[in-house]
Amino acid sequence: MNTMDNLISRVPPLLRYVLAALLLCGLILATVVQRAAILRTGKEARLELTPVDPRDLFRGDYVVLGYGIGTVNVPGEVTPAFTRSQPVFVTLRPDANHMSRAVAISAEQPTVSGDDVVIAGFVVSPSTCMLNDAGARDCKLGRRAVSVRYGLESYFVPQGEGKRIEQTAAGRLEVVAAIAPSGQAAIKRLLIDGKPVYDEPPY
Amino acid sequence: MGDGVISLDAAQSIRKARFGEEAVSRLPGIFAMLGALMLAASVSAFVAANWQEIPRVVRLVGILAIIAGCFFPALLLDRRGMSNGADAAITFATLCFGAGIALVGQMYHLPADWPAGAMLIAIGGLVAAALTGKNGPLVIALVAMTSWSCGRFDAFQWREVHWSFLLLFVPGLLLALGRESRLVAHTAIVALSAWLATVLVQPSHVRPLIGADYAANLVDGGLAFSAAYVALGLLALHRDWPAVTQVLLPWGAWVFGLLLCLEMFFVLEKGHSIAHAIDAYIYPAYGAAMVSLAALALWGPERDKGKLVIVAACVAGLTIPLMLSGFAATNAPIRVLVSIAVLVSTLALIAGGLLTGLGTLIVVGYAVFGASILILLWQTIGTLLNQSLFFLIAGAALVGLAAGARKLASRSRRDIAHSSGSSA
Repeated sequence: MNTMDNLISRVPPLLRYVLAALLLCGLILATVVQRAAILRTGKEARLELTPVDPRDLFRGDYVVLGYGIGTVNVPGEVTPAFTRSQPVFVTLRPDANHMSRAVAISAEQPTVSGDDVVIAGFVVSPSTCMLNDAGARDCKLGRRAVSVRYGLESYFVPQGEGKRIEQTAAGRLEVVAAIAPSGQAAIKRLLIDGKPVYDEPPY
Repeated sequence: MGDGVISLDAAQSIRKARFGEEAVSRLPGIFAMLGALMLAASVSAFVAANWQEIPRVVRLVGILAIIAGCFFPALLLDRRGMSNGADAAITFATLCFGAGIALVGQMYHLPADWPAGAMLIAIGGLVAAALTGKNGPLVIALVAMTSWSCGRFDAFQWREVHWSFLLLFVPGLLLALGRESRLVAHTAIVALSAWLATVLVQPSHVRPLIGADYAANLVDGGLAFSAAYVALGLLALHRDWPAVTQVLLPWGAWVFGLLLCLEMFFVLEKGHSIAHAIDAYIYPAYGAAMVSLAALALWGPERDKGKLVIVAACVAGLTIPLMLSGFAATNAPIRVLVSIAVLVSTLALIAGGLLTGLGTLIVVGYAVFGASILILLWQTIGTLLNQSLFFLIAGAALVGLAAGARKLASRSRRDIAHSSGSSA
């Protein structure tokens, strides 16, 4: 029987082995280059957060980061028609403290100007309790809010160091994210009391 | 040996020649493979430690160097005829590729999307398996693509079939068809079966399902798919098809037996009433079973009554979901009919196994028969007197069957003796 292996074995072994090594290394490097490009060229946004501390089997200890922009209120005049896992674009605008706040959410990438920046995410819950003016969830205001994740929710730390971040009061922690024009984001810096404790070089 | 066909010494010599030397020659390869797995676990733990004393770019370059560096010794080992050693080296490289993916995720704090990581490892494994012709990376790829598919299916809250699985599984299956490794064959069938199971339980957006309905879909559809496995496995054995098709038989037989027991258990369970429904999601499984059984009946071994008995065993089992469809499981006559169908299917499996000489079917038949009796004793149908009557009739029928089979065997022996006497 002329199997797939028989077809491939017509290529000389040396060439096949070199190609296999190059493809495996290339797959890893392609991911590295893509993420590094966001860190090098992305627009920065400061984000408030709240952490907890679990462990990943293969990647070690990490802190789960919850963001203020993780809940986005949908304006009253807009009918919320988002579904779970749907990709969305959230417009961020810096407040008086230069902290980015979510001001709009849409299924299509909007055009923005000034200090506004658009970050891409996906819907975790299409209907959740709305945020009040203090930025806390308040179910009395209704459930016209959407829970969104941005791919910034894990921060890997050396073994045992997660506790230090976990025990830090939520208001003292913030993240500086780099956001590419496509909306893809990467964590660039982790700060406690406005001072960088972890800085992420592109490579 | 017991019938005096070959002597004890001759049998021992054959065993030694066939298995002893083969086992000794395989030992280095097996130890090398186990060593590769341990070394890869060491690399993985090192990555997870996130040791800051070594800059992350150095860690990345180190892993890339290990991956690339494994291929040269593997090529040398392969050229010297040490194929198992080469397989171990490529397996190690593929596992290090997985560690490299984890390292990149750690470096850039990528979210804990493990199915995406599993997909990348599956792609890497397929590339390594296709280009080097080794089995270790193919096993890794099949395991990784199963994890990817199950992870995505779970993330969709069991609502969508993960069709993308086929994009990786089909090339994996094409590679597996050309390999003789039993491990590759079994892993490929497990991967396929896991995906087929997700196809059976997915229609929750069409009608609201509860946990018990998932079970009914899985058991009814699984019974049909496992019957198809049995038929295709038998055909594969008869026609000497690739190993990956031959291992369908043991998987199909064991799953078929297990699901027969579950059907009986669920239908006799008083506390639960499962609504069975033969719907569009079960049709493909029944279609596959019907086509496979017809193929076995038409193209299986000629003048082999065993194949027809096995087809009958499968058909008897497949009638159970049809009996239960639309009926309440509390219906007493249905309960009795289902129990009879399970016992008939089991007896036909034993008879088919004996006629075709397939030990797996005999063992499955005995195991399911024993389990069925225990379930029937556990869950009384009607009163204990009714149950006693059921066993009495079933026992008498079996004794009658035994007497008939004995007469048939005696006549068959007489015919053979007569024909050999006349030819002499």
